[in-house]
Amino acid sequence: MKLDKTDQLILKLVQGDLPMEEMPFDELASETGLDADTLIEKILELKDKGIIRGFKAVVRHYRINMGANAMVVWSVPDNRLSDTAKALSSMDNISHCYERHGLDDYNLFTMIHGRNKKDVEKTIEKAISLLGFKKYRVYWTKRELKKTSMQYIKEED
Amino acid sequence: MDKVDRKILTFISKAFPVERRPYRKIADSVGIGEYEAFKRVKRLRLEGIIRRIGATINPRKIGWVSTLCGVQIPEDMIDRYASVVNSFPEVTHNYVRSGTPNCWFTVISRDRRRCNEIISEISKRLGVKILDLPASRVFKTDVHFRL
Repeated sequence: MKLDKTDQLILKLVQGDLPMEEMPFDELASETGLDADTLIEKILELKDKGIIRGFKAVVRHYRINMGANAMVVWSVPDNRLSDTAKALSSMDNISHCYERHGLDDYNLFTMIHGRNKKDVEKTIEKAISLLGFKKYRVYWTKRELKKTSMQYIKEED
Repeated sequence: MDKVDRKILTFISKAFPVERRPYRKIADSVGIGEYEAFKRVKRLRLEGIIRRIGATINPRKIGWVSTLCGVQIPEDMIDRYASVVNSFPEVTHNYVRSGTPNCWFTVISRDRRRCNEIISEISKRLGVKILDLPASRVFKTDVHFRL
């Protein structure tokens, strides 16, 4: 999708951290030529178009004891891939579900979260009983080396 | 962190209100005053519990590409691996995991060429083979939890 100048400006503003003000969008707008109502309208427009996926607070889960998570990869027959992906995606503790190719014959990649390891294992068992097959591999997350948000629009753009 | 903080986090980690007085909306949802909601969120940000408040952009929608890479790194080389891989701003996530391969990072870049460039540069500098696993379909990419 082609972005016009205003879209680029809006994305540049919202890809960072919202000002710590009581009326943060007024503050953001004051950094540009827009008024707050227009800025808000534009953000919602970009959200409707799917360019902005969501506007939210990103919480550091490890700081509030969100416990364990694992990347679980599944080997699913081609003719069952869509259905399986949809079933897994509908589960609360599964945050991501992607089809990928290149890791042996594992073709469905999920991220599963829980308060602890046992909790994650429970979700895996639930998924297995739901799907009726069990060729999968679990990659427990041991250490976070980097987690940032991408800056899509740079100053010079 | 108390119960009210948790309620606030649950609420704003799903969606932070995009309106002129967002803290009034947050306050109403947890039953406190607007200024108290503002102060609590500010504290959670200063304490680092909230990493950031803002938009998540769908890279695909603006023509960017992303991929997941897996690579096997010996334990005593992980620090060096981290410093090489993390030096690329296009690498947004990087984790050590159990199993083989044991290291996993994501690349988001302007186009496929730049993505390949980053992967081969990392591969060359570390002398390792990298598994490049771009998504052919995205079924779910969303994180919100009850806190």
